[in-house]
Amino acid sequence: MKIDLRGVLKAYGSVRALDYVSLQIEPGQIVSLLGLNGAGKTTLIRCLAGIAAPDKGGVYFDDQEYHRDRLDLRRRIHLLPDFPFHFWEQTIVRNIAIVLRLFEADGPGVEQQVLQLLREFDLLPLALKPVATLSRGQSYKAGLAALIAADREVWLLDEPFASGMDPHGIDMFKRFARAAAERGRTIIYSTQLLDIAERFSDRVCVIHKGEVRAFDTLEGLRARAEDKNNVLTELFRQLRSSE
Amino acid sequence: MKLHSPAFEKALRRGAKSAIRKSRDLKRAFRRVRRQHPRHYSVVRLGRPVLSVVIAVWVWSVAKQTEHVASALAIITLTAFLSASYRARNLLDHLYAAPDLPALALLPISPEAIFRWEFQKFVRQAAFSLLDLIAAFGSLALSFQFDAARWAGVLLIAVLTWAGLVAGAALGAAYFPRVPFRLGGAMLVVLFWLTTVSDTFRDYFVNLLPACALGINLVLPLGWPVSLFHLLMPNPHWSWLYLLLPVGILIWSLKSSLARLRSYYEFQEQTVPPAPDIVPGSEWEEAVEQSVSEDALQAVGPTEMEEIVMSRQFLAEPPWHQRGWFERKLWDWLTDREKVLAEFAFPNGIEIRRPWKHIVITLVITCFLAGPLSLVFPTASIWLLGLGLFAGACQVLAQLGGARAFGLVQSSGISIPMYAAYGVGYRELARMLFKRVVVQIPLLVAYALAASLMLGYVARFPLAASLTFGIKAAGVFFAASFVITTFGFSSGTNDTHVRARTLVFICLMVSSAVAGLILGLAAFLWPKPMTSWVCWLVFLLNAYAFFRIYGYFYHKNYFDLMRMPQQQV
Repeated sequence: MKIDLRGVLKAYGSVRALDYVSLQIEPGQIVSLLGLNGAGKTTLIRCLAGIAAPDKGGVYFDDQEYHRDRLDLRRRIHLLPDFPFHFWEQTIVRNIAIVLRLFEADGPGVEQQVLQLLREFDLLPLALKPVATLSRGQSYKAGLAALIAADREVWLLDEPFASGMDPHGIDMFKRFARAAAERGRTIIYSTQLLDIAERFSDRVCVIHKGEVRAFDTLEGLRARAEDKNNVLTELFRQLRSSE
Repeated sequence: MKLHSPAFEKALRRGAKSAIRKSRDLKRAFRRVRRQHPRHYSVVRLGRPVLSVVIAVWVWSVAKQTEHVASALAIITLTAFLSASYRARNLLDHLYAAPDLPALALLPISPEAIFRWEFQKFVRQAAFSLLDLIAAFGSLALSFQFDAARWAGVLLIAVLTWAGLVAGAALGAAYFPRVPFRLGGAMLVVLFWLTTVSDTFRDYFVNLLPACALGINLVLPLGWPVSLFHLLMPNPHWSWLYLLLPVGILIWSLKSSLARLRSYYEFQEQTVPPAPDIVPGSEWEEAVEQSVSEDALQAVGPTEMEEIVMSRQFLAEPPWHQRGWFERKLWDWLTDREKVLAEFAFPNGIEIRRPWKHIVITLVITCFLAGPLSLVFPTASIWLLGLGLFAGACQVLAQLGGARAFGLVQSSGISIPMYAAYGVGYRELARMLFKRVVVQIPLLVAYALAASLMLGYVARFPLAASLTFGIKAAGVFFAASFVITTFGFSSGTNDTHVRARTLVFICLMVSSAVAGLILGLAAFLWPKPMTSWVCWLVFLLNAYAFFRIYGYFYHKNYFDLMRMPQQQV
């Protein structure tokens, strides 16, 4: 699904979280959103998910403007916040089942996929435990398992690498995300970890004070940078010094 | 239950005594041991009757000061009520924190037998309350110089009150175990201090008692058996016998309370797990390994988990439609998508029968209390009925709303409603919620009619006016569902954050709400029937319009589906 932000302005009082942002994301890409704290990464994700309403401009999916009554468009997007939304007293499998049914992704064969995900994320022995009894990393994995199983066209993830997941979980997520991107899914995630963004993204979007300062492939950024080995570190140093 | 054989103990005691008597050496040893271990007598047990005497003197002094028997009975009622509260805690302590429980749990005794044993101990301890009641009623009987037949009646009333006290304590322990019952004892001391010791408050409270004594005796359940004392007075009013019915119900509730307590009773001693730094090869390590293997046997293993997942059991819809007739009707009416939304909005399944049962119980209790009260205290009965109906109306409104989908979840410093995170639509979710309300319309109408008829009876309204009021009230409840749903969506948004863009929206919503309020009042208060019915109809339409207007702005992205702390805005 092609994503197009056209002059999106989102302000909280006098603070412009997104300052006339225009951006085009083609399907089948992994896009990392980078920026200092309060730069507008999460607001951008919320605008894409329809939670935050742009003050001006619009969000377009496949050239169709998104409004909240366009449920057909909304159901093609899956949001996973930094603290996943669960029914805490329900078990992992029950939470996954609710999400799958909401997205109408509970067709034949999904059980195989769920089983594989539970195994890969080490959740199988915990599958019948209430989510409230899990650690933060485990509950994030549960949310991630639901997201991967539902397999929407756009995955929106807020800080998945600061979610408390263990290295194995992170590795699994990367593998599933890469496979999904190859199937044409668009994965957009925010992070503060530059080395992860360097290795795990097709495009990098650097946001600073609500403005998109860079949106390019790593090779593209590297070609323009002075220090070719530390492109993103260099870029952030410049952003800090420009404040 | 007998944990020991009394016959065997008796025979053993006799045998030991005769053996001691026969042997000089044993006699000497017996005397030596007795000197070393003198017999202990519980000061609490010995001193406890003193408290009964204090209560008796208290009741007697109140009766003497007020020269009003109901006031003295009110003191007994309050004492019994607060004692019941204290005893409820006492019962829970017996069942879950008695010192003999850890030992009993190790014996091959069923939890039921332990429950019975602990309850017997509780009843034995509660016998002191019977002593209090006999002393309190006895002091009144003495001051009124009752004959032997009336003394028998006093004893009977004391026993009935005590049975009610035990039943009340069990009721509290079974249904409201989290209530701080221990405060009952403290409140009793405060009450005693206020009415006897404190010079500042004594006269005020004692003078106040005659005015509210009847209310206390009729409102508090333990006042019902206490009020039977009026039957022993000269020229009794036999309508007091009416109170035997609620007294019987109160005592009868003991059975269900105990059944409820017994149903989830299982004492488990809390054990501290061994420290993780176990020395390899020690006996602790073996114990831990053993306990781990036992846990593994009890837990559902991965293979079974795999079966559950592969059989698609976890994807099965929860069978909430089996809960009752109304649930089944709703299930049949909902589309597949709406069933999914119902599961999302109510993850534990939709419940109609049980909440309405509670609503009916509230109504019945209210009517039951207000009905007899209206015969002796009409103003108090209207207040009581109003209070009960208000509580019932709150229950009804809670039943019409309460979807988990509107619950807020914290995310990066803001709150987001659940439905927004999963892209659930405004109309589709609202449609499902309205269907849920529509199925409950017969219950709504029945409740509104019953409540208005009761109100009409107490306030002496004509029957037709009461019926009209009930039908209109049912309509208002139904219209409230539109408003509740709209507020459900609104609760997780920043729609009230005034900006140039939302100004029109806020003006429209406020004017619709004000119009609704005026129309609602006119529907009930307008003198001309035709106009009032028109107002009622427009009120319903306005509630629907309120929902639709909000939906229009919702779909046009006029506000965010999140709430942020005020300082961030």
